[in-house]
Parts: sequence; structure tokens; C-alpha cells
Amino acid sequence: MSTLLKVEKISVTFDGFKAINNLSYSIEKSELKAIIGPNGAGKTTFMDIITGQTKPNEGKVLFGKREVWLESDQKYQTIWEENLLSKNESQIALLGIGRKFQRPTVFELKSVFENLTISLKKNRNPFNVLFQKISNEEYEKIEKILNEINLDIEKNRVAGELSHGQKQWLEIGMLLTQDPKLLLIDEPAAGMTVNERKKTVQILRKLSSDKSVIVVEHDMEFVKDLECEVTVLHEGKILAEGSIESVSSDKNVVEVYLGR
Amino acid sequence: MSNYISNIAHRHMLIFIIAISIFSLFVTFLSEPYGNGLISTSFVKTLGKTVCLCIIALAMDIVWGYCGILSLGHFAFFGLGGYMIGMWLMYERTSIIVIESSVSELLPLTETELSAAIGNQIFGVVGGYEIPAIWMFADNLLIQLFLVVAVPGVLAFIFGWLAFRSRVTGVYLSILTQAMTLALSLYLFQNDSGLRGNNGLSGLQNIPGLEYLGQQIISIWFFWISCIFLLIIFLIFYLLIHSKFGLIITSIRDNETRVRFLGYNVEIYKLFVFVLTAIVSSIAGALYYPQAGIINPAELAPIASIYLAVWVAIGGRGTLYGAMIGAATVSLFSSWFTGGQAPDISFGILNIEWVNWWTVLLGFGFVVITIFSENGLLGLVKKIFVSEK
Ligand SMILES: Nc1ncnc2c1ncn2[C@@H]1O[C@H](COP(=O)(O)OP(=O)(O)OP(=O)(O)O)[C@@H](O)[C@H]1O
Ligand SMILES: [Mg+2]
Repeated sequence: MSTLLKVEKISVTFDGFKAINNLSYSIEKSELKAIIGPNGAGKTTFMDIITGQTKPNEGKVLFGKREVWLESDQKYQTIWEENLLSKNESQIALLGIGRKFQRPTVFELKSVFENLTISLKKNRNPFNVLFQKISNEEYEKIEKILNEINLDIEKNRVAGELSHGQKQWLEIGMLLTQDPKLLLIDEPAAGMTVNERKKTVQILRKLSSDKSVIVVEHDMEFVKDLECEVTVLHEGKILAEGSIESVSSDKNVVEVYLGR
Repeated sequence: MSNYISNIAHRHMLIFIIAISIFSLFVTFLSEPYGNGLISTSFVKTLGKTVCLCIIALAMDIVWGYCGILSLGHFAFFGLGGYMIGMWLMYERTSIIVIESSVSELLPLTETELSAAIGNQIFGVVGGYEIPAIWMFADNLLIQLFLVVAVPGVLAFIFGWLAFRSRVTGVYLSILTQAMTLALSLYLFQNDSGLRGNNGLSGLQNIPGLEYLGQQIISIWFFWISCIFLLIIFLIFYLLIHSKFGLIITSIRDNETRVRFLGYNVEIYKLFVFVLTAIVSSIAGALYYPQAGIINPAELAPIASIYLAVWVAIGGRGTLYGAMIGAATVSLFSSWFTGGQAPDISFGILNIEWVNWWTVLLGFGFVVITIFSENGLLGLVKKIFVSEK
């Protein structure tokens, strides 16, 4: 097994209120996982911590495990490449962690195509950016991603004109052009039609063939269709973990979340 | 399509090159030394100064209209540019005068006597005769020209680095830039600032070594140089905003957080834009003050930077033409109204003297334009033009 992200015993307090309480979590390479939980459970805060927007009061966040053979001890030793807590948002993004926000955030005044070029995996130094052109390979890569997110015919439209659901896809597409290793997707199905939800499930499942994906969602049906391990978060703590069937029959979960 | 610059963009640049060439030729052929004299020398100077104001308006538009940083301090950089070139103009001219007047004396002046005489001429008004250390390069045009770029560049870098690194944004940043401007202007008001306190620098219209040409010719030359700089800076900015860099800074303006989470170091981009526009503002100032003839600390009072933002807002921020139109119209109207040429209106008890009432009119115009068009005058023109079709 190779773990991509390991979160250890993190806690966050906002003005005396514990939004995240001694939480541990991890995800493997090319794994798809879902997090559910009632409003205010701390799901978004959890993503804020991984992406560097919020610094936890306690705990560790480690990214990218590597096994190294130790000659002297004749065994493998695990090396964590990066301690995310010592990095800022842009540095974390460059390590290969892409984040879709709860509220779709695309550049409304720019075309779909332009939105996707901004996030292309390239040198981000301003002096270099001044002279950057789009190469043919990059152009093809964008076309491919446009196809994956069902936006090929909207390529030249201004992003602000897209439907709510399409903006969600565009935002996912923006994460894809930067070749991420881990995707954090906050409420992708919000404001989507039934059809769009189905397509979104397809998109996310396909992505997890070569990327790790964590999806936060309210909608049970949606999570069921993802067919992945589910973590139930409540008051900043993990309430239950397992398949959707097992968590939805869990007594505690029924009480705090489904019972209402 | 694999390139950010389209053919249409190239055509826009060509149009501007043609427009500015026609404008400068037009003025030249109506000027006193090279044409039929319909345009007076003082009006040539006004036009030249207006062109410089267009340059700083472009800078303001890049930093505010395109990058979303409402700096209320860019006029301070404009003033600094004026001071840097002013030091050479004043020093060099004074030294020529001192040397000329000493020709009649039997012994040539020694270094110290010369320096004391120049110091006395320049700093007599603030009760000094020693030349302050900051004037040590004042006799060297090249170094002073370098300082036009370096001094505001370094100041903007330090200020921007501190402000952006602490993620100061929005109104707080605007207030901070005002504070910087106020501090600088108050410092320059001091008599011991080394820059002649509230007297400022004067006689800047006399270009050392070129006095024999006369103001008629010098004014038109400065007008040309200003036009050339406007053209160059317009083209640089045009390419900049149509490059990927432009895409990034407008994205920062629209959604800073999203850009940051895409892996861009937003602060570096802001710093880049802030420093670049500060330098351009300073160059504009260095071209402006030799045409104005005098610079004093009041020029870089905080209000001047606010006016700059008003010009850009009135013209239409986020478009290069808008910024220039705003700066040109408002500053030309302003000099007309405050210059006493506008006829006063009398309503019996209330006598409207434009010298005082101009600000009221400007404020009123500002409100009206922003109500009718969020993109300023240019947006208004576009609206009318498009709805007619
Ligand atoms: N920056 C902050 N300052 C203070 N309180 C915060 C902050 N961010 C989040 N909170 C609080 O922490 C708790 C968890 O918020 P969070 O946004 O993580 O919940 P969530 O699980 O994403 O909820 P939702 O399903 O509504 O998106 C909430 O009570 C929220 O008010
Ligand atoms: Mg949330």
C-alpha cells in the first residue's frame, strides 16, 4: 500500500469552538473516498487545513509517502516527502493538491478555454509567465480535458454564462490541467440536475483511476453511486467509516445525521 | 489560436501608433516654431503635460483596473520622478550660472568656492549653503535618470513587499498607500529634507545646455518625447495585458483565492505590478515637471493620488483607452476651470466662481458617470454606440 496523504490528530479551534477535534485520516494513491456530515461538521475546514488556508492548533499533515530500502537494516523505511503545515496555499497546490471550492469559483469574465490555460502545469514565475505561449500538446491536453468534463462545445463561452453545474465541472477541469495527485472536491453535486449528477459521478470515478480523490457531499444518493469508502464527520470528529451500507446502518450516524 | 496575442490585438496596436503620430504631427504643424502658430507655446506645454498624465493614468489602470490593487499612492512616485530629474536640472543650471558670473573675476573659483556658491544659490531659501548628501549625483544626468527608475522602484518594492506579504488588501491597502504618500509629502515639506522644503525645485523648464533653443522649441521637443513615451508604454502594457501574465493578474483581481489555490504566488505578481507601475509613474513625472517648470511637496499630497483614481474611474478602468481619456479630459477641464478662463456664473446672491466650484462639478460628474456607466466615459460611449446599431 502506498499512502498519499496522512492527517494525524489535528484539532482546530475557532474562538473556543472546536471545529476539528483530534481527527486522523489518510488516503491511498488512486483511491476515491467520500466524506459526509451535517452542516457545520467541519468538512470544509478539513479541506482548508490540507490546502494550507487554515493552520491547525495541533496535529500533522503529511503528503507523499515513499518507501526506501535501508541496506543497513535490511528493510524498507517510510519517508514522508512533505510536511504540509510548513507550506502556504500556492506551494501546496504546486505539490499536486487541487481543490474545488464549495461555491464554484471560476473566472467568470474569461472564456472556458482561458480558465483552463491559467491552471496549466507550467512555470509560475511571473518573469517566465510573461513570455509563455500555449504549445500544441497543451492545446490538445485542454481539448481532452474539455471532453472529460463535458464542456467541449462551450470552449469559447464566457465562464460566467455557464450553468451552476457546468461551472462545477469547469472548476474540476481547472484542477485537472495542473496534473494533480490529489483532488479535494467540496460538494460537486450542489445545484446539479439528476443528469448532471450522473455525469459528475462518472467524471469523479474516472479520475480516481490515476489520482486520489476526496469528495465531500451532502447527498446520500450521490455518495452511494461513487461506490467508495465513506467517512462520516460530526462535530469535527469521525463518527463512522466504511461502505455506504455499513455507515448508513450505524446507530450513531442514523441518530445525528440521517435521523433528522 | 495557440497564442495569446491575436491578429486583432496587433491591429489595435497599429491603430494607436497611427493615432498618436497624427496627433503629434497635428500639434507640431500648429505650433509656433514648426507651424503656423495657432497653438501657443503654453498650450503645447499643457498638451505635453497632459500626455504625461495619460502615462501615469495607464500605470494606475494596470495596477487598479487590471490587477485590482487600488493604490492611492502612485502620484507620490510621479512626484519622486519629478524631484529626481529636477535635482539635475536645477543643479546643472545653477552651476552654469555661477560659473558664468565668475568669469569676470580675476581668479577662477576653487572647487569649494564653486560648491558653496551653488549651495548658496539653491539652498539659500531654506537658510543653508551646504549641498546635502542626496545631491551628490546631481551633476550627473545619467545617474539622476537612473534614480528616476531606482528610487521609486526601491520604495515601491519595500512598501509592496511588506504590505502584500502580510496580505493587506482592499481598503486597508488603499489607506496604507495614502499613509505612505502623506509621510513622503510631509517629509518633503521639511526645510532640512535636502529638497528645499515647501519651495520645492524651480526653474526646471530651463534645460541646461539647451537654453539657446528657447522655450518654444523646448516645449515642442518635450511634447514629442512625452508622446513617444506614451506610445512605448501603451504598447508594453498592451502586450502585457494580452499575454498570459495579463490573464493571471486580471484573475487575481477577480478571484485572488482561486489563483492562489492554483499554485500561483499572488503576492509576487502584485509586487511585480506595483513596482512596474511605480516606475512608469515616476518616468511620467520626470517628463512632466520639466514642462511644468516647478515641483513642490504639495504636488504629491495624498489628494493628487485620489484624483488619479478618479480620472481612471471616470474614463473607464480596465481599458487602456478609458484611462487615457479620463486623465486627458479631466485634467484639461481642470486647468480650464481653475485657470480662470471659464466664465463665472452669477445667481444674484450665489456667485459661482469656477476656481472654487470646479471640485464640486467634478464630484458631481463623477457620481453621474458612475451611475450611468460602471465603465466610465468609455463605457458610456460604447453603450450609446452599441445601442444605436
Ligand atoms: N474561519 C472560521 N472562523 C470561525 N468559525 C469557523 C471558520 N470556519 C469555519 N468555522 C466554523 O466551523 C464549523 C465547521 O465549518 P465547516 O465550514 O467546516 O462545515 P461544513 O462541514 O463544511 O459545513 P457545510 O456542510 O455547511 O459546508 C462551523 O460551525 C463554522 O461556523
Ligand atoms: Mg462546507
